[in-house]
Amino acid sequence: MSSSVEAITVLSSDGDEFKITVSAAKLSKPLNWMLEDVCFSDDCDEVPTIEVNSKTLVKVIEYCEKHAPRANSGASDSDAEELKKWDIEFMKMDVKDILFHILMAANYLHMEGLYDLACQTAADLMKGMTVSQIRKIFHIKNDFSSEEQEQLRRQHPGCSFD
Amino acid sequence: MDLPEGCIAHVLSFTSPRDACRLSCVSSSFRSAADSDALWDSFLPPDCPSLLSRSSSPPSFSSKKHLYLYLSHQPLLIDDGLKSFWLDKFCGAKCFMLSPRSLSIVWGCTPRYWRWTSVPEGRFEEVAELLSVCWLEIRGRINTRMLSPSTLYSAYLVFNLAASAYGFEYQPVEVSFGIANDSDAPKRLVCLHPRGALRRRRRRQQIVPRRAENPNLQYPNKREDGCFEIELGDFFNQGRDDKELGMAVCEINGGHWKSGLFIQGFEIRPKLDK
Repeated sequence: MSSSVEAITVLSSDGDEFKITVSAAKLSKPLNWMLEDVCFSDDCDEVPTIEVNSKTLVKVIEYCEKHAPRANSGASDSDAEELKKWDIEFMKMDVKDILFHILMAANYLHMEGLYDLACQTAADLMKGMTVSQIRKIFHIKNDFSSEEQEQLRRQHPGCSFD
Repeated sequence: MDLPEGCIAHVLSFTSPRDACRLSCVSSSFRSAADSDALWDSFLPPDCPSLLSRSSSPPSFSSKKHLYLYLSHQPLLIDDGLKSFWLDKFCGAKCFMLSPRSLSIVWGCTPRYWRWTSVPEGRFEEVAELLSVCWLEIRGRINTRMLSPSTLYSAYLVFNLAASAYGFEYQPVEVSFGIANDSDAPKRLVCLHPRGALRRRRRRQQIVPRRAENPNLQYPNKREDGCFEIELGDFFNQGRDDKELGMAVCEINGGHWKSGLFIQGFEIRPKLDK
């Protein structure tokens, strides 16, 4: 790999091109392996595809670029505190459509920090919702048979199923 | 959108055991994630295996969820029956009760002052019955490593009073819970005689002098198991330190004779917002 390369281009699953700096890409283990294996010099025109859609990939790259300086150099407590605040704001986006996509992308890209952040956000949202609200907001299909539903109703009398 | 079961289990690990049970109703993949050993392992304390090995009869269980449910409903005697251990049903934090035999009770070995008996409702083999003392001093200890991290704990004295108990109606008792041997540890005054019990007695026997209950004192609460408990204090366990915590119940200032107290033990459990 040429040391002069500072950013690489990747393709989303929708076929759009995105630039990501090398230091930010290193937050993801698979991207890091790719950086080590694939030639990214100027005369190499191979563009790797990441199986994440464009809308999600924009957010993932935004997260990586923000966290890269700290991950690569270490940071003081005040930086960590500031980053925590940024994470909270970052997760305040219109999460309900995209949160599960980010969660899956972080899992797929082996990004522990973003994965935990997305899971924590999903958990906090679900804690305050009824079962039927969760199904509706996260588009989850109720795939229980009527017998199973009857059994669950008996086991969890407090839950609403409608 | 369908999340893989592993992702759902990771999301659920950021909720509570109670939420996880409720969320198992969302869909079949939520249900299998909510029943998975991986999830319940994250709710069980990391040192659970070593705590189980300290029991003379460790429970058998078919899954981690069953183990969790068992431990949150059934205290487990450990350390030769000197302590009992269980989990808080809602947050999964570790709870302990220290038996009277594991406490240091001043005059406890003198049969004239204290008697060791067994009572059917007791959690431990023996309870300590106060026959009569002027100097009442009971102390217990627990290490912060035994407790769950990032948890606000309270310690309680669990006890019963004999119908013939005396010496506690008007004499407050000094109690504390905090870092052991720390002279700045907050102390509080409590009354071991339940609120309202005086009024009933007064009506029956008019010889008890009329004195008002002290509004600033804390009074014991009745527990589900029929015993009384009084809070000794609270302590936030950050979990980074390795410190001895001390609990104390003392009445050494009044100099009056006291009698009729049955000590069931000291209980340490998370202080939850009710």
